[in-house]
Parts: sequence; C-alpha cells; structure tokens
Amino acid sequence: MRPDADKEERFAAITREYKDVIAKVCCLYSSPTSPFDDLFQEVLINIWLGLDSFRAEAKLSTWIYRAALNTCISWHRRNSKHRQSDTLRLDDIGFDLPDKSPANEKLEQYQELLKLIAQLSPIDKALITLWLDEKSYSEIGTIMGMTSGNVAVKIHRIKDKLSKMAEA
Amino acid sequence: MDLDSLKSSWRNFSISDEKIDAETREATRRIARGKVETSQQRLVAFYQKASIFALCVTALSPNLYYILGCPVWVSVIYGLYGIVMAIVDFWFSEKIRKCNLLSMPVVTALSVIINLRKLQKQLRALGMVLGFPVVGIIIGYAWYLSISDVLPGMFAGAIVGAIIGIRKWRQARKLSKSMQEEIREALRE
Repeated sequence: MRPDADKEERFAAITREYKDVIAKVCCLYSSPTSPFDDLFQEVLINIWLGLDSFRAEAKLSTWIYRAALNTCISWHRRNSKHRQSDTLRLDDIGFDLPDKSPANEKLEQYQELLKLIAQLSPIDKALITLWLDEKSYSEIGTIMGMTSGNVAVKIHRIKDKLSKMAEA
Repeated sequence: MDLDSLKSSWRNFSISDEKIDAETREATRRIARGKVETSQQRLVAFYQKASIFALCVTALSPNLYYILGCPVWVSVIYGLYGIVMAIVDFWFSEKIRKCNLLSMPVVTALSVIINLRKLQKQLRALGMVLGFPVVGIIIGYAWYLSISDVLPGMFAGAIVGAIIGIRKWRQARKLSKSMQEEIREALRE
C-alpha cells in the first residue's frame, strides 16, 4: 500500500528539521552491537510508523526526542558496558563543526566525551544528551517524565561523574 | 574536561548531509516497499509464532501414546504443556503489542522495557522449568519401556534445560533490580 502524500510530506519535513537531533541521539547510543546506521534508520522508521498516532498532546520536538531516545534505549541488545575503544568515531559518520579552525581539537574532545558517555546508564545518557542540546530543565523533565528539580540534581551529578572519569 | 564549553559548541555540530540523505533514502525505500516493522513488532511476531509452535507440540502429543507406547496420561501432560506455553506466549505477544513506547516519557518507557525484558526471561525460564518434569516423565517411561536409543539425549536435554532455566531466572532478577533502582531514583520528587 503506497503511503499517503500528506504523511510523506510531514515525514519529509520532520527529517529535514530534526535530522541533526536524531543523529546526535543515535551517535550517543551507538556501539558495535548497535551501529549508528541501524539506529538512525530504526528511529526514522519508528517515527514513520508512529506518525498516525501522534495527537499533538505534546510538542512535536518532545515527541521526536522521546521517539529517538526510546528507540535507542530499547534497541540496545546488551546491558553490559562495552570497551572504551569500541565507541563510534565521529568523523566516520561525517560529524563536523562549521568553523574549521579548532575543529580537530574539538572533535577529539567530543570523541573523548563520547567514550565517557558510553559508560553511563541509559537514563543518564538520555539526560546528558538533552543537556548538551541546551534543553531547559523543564523541557528535559517533560521529555523524560521527571521533575525539573530532579533533572537539575541528576545532571549536576552526571557532570561531576564525567569530570572525575575524564581525570582518571 | 570543560563540559560547559563543549556544550556551547555541541549545537553547532552537524552530521554530513550526504550521510543523512543516504540513511533517509534507505529508510524511505524500506517504507515504500511496505516491509517495515519495528523491533517491537518483530518481537510480537516471534512470540505469536512461538505460540503456534507450542500448539504443534500439543498436536504431536498423541504420538507418545500411539508410537512410543506411553500411557495416555503422559501424552495428556505433554499436550497440556504445549497448550500452557501457547497461551503464555500469546499473552506476552499481546502485552508487547499494546505498548506505545514512542509517546511515553523516557523513564516510563524504560521501566516498561525493563519489565518486559524481565518477563521475557522469566517466561523462558518457566518454559524450561515446566518442561523439565514433562521431559523427566517421558524419560522415565522410555527407560521403563527400554527405549535406550533416546535416553541419553533426553537426560542431557533435561539437565541442560534445567540449568539454563535457573540461570536465566537469576539473571532476570539481578538485571531488573539495578535498573528499577535507577528508575525509582529518576522519578523521585
């Protein structure tokens, strides 16, 4: 059955507007057992299949974040931590900063950050993903289903944990 | 590591349009072919097929009486085992099917996923633990009827199945305990 034109248009608009959001979420959840390409396609397919039931009770961006995060979390086949050296290489998937001058140093810092984030639990990973995307504590709370107070406390602890892991 | 400084430029990172377009085209092709299903749907299909397989086990149970010469009650127990597993697998497939994970807040969705995984492991363990006495009875009768060819395989299967079942049950309990603690902490006011 051919998908209807209106749904196709909505889907195309969503992929155009939210491609980087989805890519960054998939990037943070990628691993050898959950490759970036598979995750990204799975998120897009889930969004396509879920579009009919999206009723705009929440903002579209909230729904997209939930779809991406919930897909990535449920896709994970293993709960054990994988080796640091097995995290995704950002340059392998064409990640880039528009401003080229300090790009290499920043890319390496993000690569290091990715290795550290890979060791976090699924909830902590989701929280730091949203924090990196400059979402407010209130927005993060809505997406996650937590109070903004609890979000603030958790993010403070995660940042502390990441700093200590980086120093170790 | 200065996380706040990394945060300020994270927004400016983007993935190459080529990569995105390639993945989007592939996803769109799969959608257009009409052969898309989520991992959730694949899991539902798996348990629906498992349910049908279990009914086939029931259908084969008369062979224990007519071919192996076991008493009727052995055949009935074997058949009942198939029916129980068919019902349990179908119930689980429906439970998965009714979850609308996409729209749920992340912590709620994670809680649902953890509980489903725990249930999945428990159902596997239940299948093995229930199967053990059924297999034991058939082994007993095979021994009694001196059908020596099948006995070593039956014994090995029964023991291995029981060990695997108990291990999976214990793994399920351990896994869900740590994740549920984290979820409880996330939902604290």
